[in-house]
Amino acid sequence: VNQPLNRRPLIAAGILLGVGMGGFVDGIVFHQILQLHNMLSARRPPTSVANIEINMVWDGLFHAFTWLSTALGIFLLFRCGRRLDVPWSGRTLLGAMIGGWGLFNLVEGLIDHHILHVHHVVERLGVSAWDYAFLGSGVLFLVIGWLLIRSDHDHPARAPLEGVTP
Amino acid sequence: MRVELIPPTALLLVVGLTTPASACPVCDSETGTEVRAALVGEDLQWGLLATALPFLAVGGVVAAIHFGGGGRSDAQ
Repeated sequence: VNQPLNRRPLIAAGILLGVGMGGFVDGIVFHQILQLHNMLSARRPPTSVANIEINMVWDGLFHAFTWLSTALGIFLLFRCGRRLDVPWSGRTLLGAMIGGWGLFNLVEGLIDHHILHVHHVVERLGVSAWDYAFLGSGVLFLVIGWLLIRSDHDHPARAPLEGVTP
Repeated sequence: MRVELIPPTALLLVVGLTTPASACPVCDSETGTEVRAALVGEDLQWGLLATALPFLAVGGVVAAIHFGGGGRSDAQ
């Protein structure tokens, strides 16, 4: 099979899944379990029932976007599985997912923590070392993901799936 | 428990369990009204920006990789 292989759809799917996983870690661990911050906790400190409920709504919308990202990632991954020109590589997918998690931490950290100042990692501290550690984790995950994708050279030939038209 | 105490106990349980829920954004209560007003008022732009903007930015990156540059194509 001398078909040019295209990893871009697999990388795109992996990034969306990584963004979803990273978003859920943030929302579930930081917002809900540890309650270090909420979506608008810098503007609406959770010190009254009303403010807690307001933050809960925006946390819910954040989780809705995270869910949509994950769902779109699954959809794109499924389409990759049906395409013979997309290599079915676990290393590339893992790299893209780690990179996606890093991209989420970097972008969300920059926009929400440092530009809009709607919340910070540890809200009671305001902008703190934890916010820079969050950005640093984003850069680190992006680099690890990129290295994993770049090191993936071995693409086994894809056999047509039953019922799939190449 | 005596039988005649069951109805008032059940009533107390129902009232006790549903009172906190009446603070929800669509509930007809003082707190619910306050929450609703904040959601569609001064917090709306901040909430939408804070929740949507990161995902829009990431979506742009993903679209660029999927449809355009980035990644790598290999010949086999």
